Amino acid sequence: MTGLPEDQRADERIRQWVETHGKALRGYLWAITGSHHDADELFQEVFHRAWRNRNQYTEQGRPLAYLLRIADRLAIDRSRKHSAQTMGEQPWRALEPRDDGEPPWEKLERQESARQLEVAMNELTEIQRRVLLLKYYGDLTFAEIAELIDCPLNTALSHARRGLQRLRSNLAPTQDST
Amino acid sequence: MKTHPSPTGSAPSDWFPGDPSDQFGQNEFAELDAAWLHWTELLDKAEGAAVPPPWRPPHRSHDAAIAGSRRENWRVFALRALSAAAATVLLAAGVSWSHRAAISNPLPASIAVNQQPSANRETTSGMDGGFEPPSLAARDAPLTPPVGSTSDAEDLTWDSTVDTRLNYVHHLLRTIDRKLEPDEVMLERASWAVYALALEAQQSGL
Repeated sequence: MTGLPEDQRADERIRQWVETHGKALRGYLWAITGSHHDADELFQEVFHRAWRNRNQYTEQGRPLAYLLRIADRLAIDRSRKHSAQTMGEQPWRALEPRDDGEPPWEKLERQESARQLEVAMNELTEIQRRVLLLKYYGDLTFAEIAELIDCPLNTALSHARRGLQRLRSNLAPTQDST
Repeated sequence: MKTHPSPTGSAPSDWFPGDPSDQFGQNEFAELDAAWLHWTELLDKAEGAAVPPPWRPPHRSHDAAIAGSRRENWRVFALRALSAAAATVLLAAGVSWSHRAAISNPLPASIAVNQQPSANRETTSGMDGGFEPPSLAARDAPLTPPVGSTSDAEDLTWDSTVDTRLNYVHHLLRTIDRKLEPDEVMLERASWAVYALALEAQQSGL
């Protein structure tokens, strides 16, 4: 079959993406969904979609931006499907317990971090959260983020700035105490 | 070197919150940088990125299975649509119930046209002018896309069984409609309208 080498190349390319960008993508999905389980499921779906569209993909040198675009859409779709609320109004789910053998003081510390994160995330709007998480995990430029979330560059920057201002005000007491 | 956004204007696109070169800056954005750093500390990158689940491209057979299942659904849909159309014409033609029943139920794959149930072969009783099953020659005449049909029609993978069945229904319609003295063009149109419906069902993933 003539298409087979193409397919093999696509398989190889996607395997490489998993290796190179898997962690960043998984991190973004975890942060945007607040759940390891959802992140794992969406992670599979992102790569499955990339694989299904393997013949439509055109190399532009930024595969992570391409994967994050799929991930972002999937996460938002899922969030809207699962809840009538907008994502910005959803409570940030507390970090799930990962290890039962964790020492109690570390668990306490983690719980406190989770609480702070919950407060911080709850205060962000959906779009602010997306912009900041895309910046953090994807290390995308704001121009790329603007394109990904389909808004002008200045709007993306403004979301980032307002998001950080909210984080500052919510995290300020903790910062003062440290 | 990354630059700070202007406190009064819009930020330049290369501004990067948390950039080490910015965090001790003298303007208000230093606080934003601090917020960014604190937030990202909480948002443990390592935990979020913990052990991405393994991923392997689905096996080709999986793809084929999906395509196969869609094709199968499409077959069922096409057969039902055509059967319904045939049954409607039969009803209008006053064909006996036994014929209608034979056509309304999609034929099992094993039943080739030349092995039709005897009920289909019988001369219809109670039918004005009589009804004859399609001749083998009529059955074997290929269904060709109508003039001006799109490439979609050509892209369809025609299973020989489906082809046989569609031919059967098509020619059955033709035969039945002899009784109605149909307009040949109209008959063709009707057949292809059903075909288009089936195509649409296929494209929408039915």
